[in-house]
Amino acid sequence: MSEFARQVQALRPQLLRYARNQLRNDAWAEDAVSETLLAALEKPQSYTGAAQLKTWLVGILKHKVIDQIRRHRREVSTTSDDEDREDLDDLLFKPNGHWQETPADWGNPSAALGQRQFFEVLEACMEHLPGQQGRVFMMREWLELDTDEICKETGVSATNLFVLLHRARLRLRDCLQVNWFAGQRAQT
Amino acid sequence: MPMRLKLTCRDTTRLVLEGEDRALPLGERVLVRVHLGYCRGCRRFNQQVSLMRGAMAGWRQLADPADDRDPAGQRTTPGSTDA
Repeated sequence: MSEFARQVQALRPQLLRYARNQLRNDAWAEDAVSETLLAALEKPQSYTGAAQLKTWLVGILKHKVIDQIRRHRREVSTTSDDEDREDLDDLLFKPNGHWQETPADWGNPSAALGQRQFFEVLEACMEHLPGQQGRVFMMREWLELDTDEICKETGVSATNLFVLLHRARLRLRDCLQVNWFAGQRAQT
Repeated sequence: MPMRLKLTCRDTTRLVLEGEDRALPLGERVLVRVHLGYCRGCRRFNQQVSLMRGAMAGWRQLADPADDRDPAGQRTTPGSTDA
């Protein structure tokens, strides 16, 4: 195996983690990563060395991941319900629309964003989003697609997409509150 | 949603979150601003959402070693590790 092939292979676990986080389906993620590695190994000359190898591979992976979403469009658009019957809104607000509990002060953003462990918690929280929510959230935040594009690629309606993104962000917030900010508060 | 002159906290959080994914029309932005002016809970929520936006941007940078910051000390240098 060439040095280049060895370096590409070494990045496989990381690529698989991104693909899983985005696709929420192990088989699809495996396919996307295999296609990425194949594309890389077939055209090593297109790697100019300008960017780091991982950056280049992740760029290819994002395209392969979107291909997978397109290929499994039907499943992607129909696996929405059932996974999240619990409506966080109902827990957060009183019937009159006021907060049940005032949101906590998360303090100066740089305090959290300067810490490596914070990003580990963030990533774990992202991975714990329920399937469909996680998928559209990652499409928005990792693939950086706009909502029209996400609707087009997944077949999810705009109304449904906003509900999913809303829930995903509330869940992420809740997860960060419980797993990071509550603990930070206790320490200080 | 029926637009009232005063938003509830529930309406406000929904709009604040939607603002992450679409450009809110001026009318909605004004209503949110007014509400944030007198509601501490929603101001905090709004700050939390801003922090999460910054966190996601930071995460994207960590995921992409083109950025200077060391991605959590993980194996980012190709070939630096043996399988």
